[in-house]
Amino acid sequence: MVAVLAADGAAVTLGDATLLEPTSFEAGPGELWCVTGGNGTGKTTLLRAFLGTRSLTAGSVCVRGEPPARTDPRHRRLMASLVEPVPVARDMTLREQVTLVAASWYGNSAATTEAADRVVERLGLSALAERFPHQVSSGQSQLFGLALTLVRPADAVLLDEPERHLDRHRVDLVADLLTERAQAGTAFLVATHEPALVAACDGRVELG
Amino acid sequence: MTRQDPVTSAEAEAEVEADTETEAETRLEAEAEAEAGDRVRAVWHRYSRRGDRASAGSRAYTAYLVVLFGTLFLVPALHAAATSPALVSLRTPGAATAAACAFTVTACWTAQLAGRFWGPLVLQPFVLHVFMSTDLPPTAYLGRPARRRPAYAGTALLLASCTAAYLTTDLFDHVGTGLQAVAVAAGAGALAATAWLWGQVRTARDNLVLASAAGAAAVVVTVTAQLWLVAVAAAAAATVTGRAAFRSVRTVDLSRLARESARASQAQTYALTGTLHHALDLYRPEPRGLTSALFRPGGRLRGHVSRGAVRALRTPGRTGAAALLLLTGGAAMTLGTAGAYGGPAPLLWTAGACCAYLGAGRAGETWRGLRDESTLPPLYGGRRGGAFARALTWPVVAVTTGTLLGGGAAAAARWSSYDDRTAETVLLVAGTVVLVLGARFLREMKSNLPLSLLLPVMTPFGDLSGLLIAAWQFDGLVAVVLGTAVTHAAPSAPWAALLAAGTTACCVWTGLRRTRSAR
Repeated sequence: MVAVLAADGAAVTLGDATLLEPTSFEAGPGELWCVTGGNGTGKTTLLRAFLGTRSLTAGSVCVRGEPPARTDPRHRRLMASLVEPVPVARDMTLREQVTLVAASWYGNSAATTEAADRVVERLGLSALAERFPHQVSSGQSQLFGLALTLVRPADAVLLDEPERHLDRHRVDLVADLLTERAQAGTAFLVATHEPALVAACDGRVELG
Repeated sequence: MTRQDPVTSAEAEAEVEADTETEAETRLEAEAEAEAGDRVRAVWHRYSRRGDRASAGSRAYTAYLVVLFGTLFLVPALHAAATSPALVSLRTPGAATAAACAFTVTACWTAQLAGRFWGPLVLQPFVLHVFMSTDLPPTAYLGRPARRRPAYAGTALLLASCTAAYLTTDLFDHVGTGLQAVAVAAGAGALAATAWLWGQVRTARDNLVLASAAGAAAVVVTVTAQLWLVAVAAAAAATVTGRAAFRSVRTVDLSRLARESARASQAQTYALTGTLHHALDLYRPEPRGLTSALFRPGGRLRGHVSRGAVRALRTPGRTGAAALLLLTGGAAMTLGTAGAYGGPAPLLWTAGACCAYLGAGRAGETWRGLRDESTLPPLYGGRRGGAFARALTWPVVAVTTGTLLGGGAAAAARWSSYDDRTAETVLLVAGTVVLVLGARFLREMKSNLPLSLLLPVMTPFGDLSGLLIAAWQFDGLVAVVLGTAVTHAAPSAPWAALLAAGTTACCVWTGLRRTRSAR
């Protein structure tokens, strides 16, 4: 079976500085992996390498057995991510934006509304869904970003510190949703400092 | 009964199988394309019904304002143009062809330049991000803006250029030349539309090639003195560039497009909230190179002029544009002030002053430093003196030198026209340069929109606060145009120079007030 996400001695150096030490692991379908380590140990760099936005100086990373390429439609179909800041539309409500992302995958079908409503409800955003982005708190914005990422189909999902700005209850909510999606077959690679998320993972990559 | 060769039969079966697979692939591709179309339509459909979209009332109000503008200004202007002699006479085929070529090639170059900064494929950042995150090919979601926006822009240019030609020239006095003028406007509109897309999706090298080819073709067509040939050449060029530009949409650099879209969205917000200068600041190039050139080998700072020159050379494109504008402005000002060209001298004079004004802004970064130093709290204790000397020495030297060189070249080319009024010309050009520097100072000291401008200004013609806000946005340019007009109306050159100095003093005083109120 081909691993969904695989790193083989992946490393990044910039002059004398090491941004990512040689790292190897394999995450299969339905596995939830986390990347832990202190600040500056290369967690985000590793995620960017899988996204295809950061070149490696040694080793390799593969998505479904192929090197990542942002310009390749197959790669974009396989991979969803919340690593870089996501632009939001100031003049659209949270529900409208989540539905728009769903519509870009499911078209004008009932699946669009179903997928959007489901993820909004699971992340506890139903009461805020008719608000505009500037009308929600930092934690709620983080949940909104996760909703935009998780509403679409994907074989692999990359998340950079999804617990940012979230309280304990919301972190548990996110951990439950990730576990549920993983059980449905999605592979996750989550950079995190949060023990609750680490506890929910099937595997762990410790950097630094 | 024929016996089939087993090898041939296997080959035939393989061929049939391959054909079937190809058909299946084609069918799947077709289905995928249909699905892609459905997904793109679903996104645009939902985006067009977003919560905070413009209401029917606001659209109706915009339409009302357009109708009002048309009724109050455009219709009387058209009527006046129809009943008065033409401002520019293009009776001879040579003059008409030259003007048409100049217009067409200018439209092409402007469209290319606009495409480099704000092309037709620029979308709302969120919508672009949504599409870019999918497996849809770029042509699926960029095809519609790539077709529609240039078409709208081309149509708008056609209407605007026909109206302008009708108002200012005598081309529409005869049916024959009128029809040819419309054909030229249509060709120029089509070429500008495709060049706009070309400017965005093709490389800088391709853009230089198109710009050079357009210039060369314009020269050749001008020599033939055939107005209809301009239309044919423009239409042919539009067809060729359009096909190539549309083909390039599928390979467009999406990361660059995302950056352009984010910048355009921010600029749009600034422009709509009344601070157009902040929007323009977003399009300033980042400085690069000459990182240690501000210091002498001994470690001491260089002089004011050298420092200004080094900082200007860190943005070579901008400085090149400044040099071109200042030389052109100097030449046009000299020709205009002397009235030596035999044509519309005040128009040339004003155009030269505007060019010099635009060049003065691009000549250096020190204007911005002066504004910051005058308005922001000092980082290290009290304010140090000499800020004006440090900041203004380079722009004053650059503008004076540029206009002098341009004016000198123009005078040398037509020396016989100047020998009897050299002193007057020098006085008028010097006055205009001082006026230009004052207007630039006024513009550069601008910060946020004063709230007082948002109050209604009731007059017999209605509320003119919108006009005041528009004037505030382009205050430097308004000062240059009005100042040149006032100077031109003066009875003699010394009086004109005095008036220019007075206008400059007003601009400087207003600029200083702006820095004080911004503290």
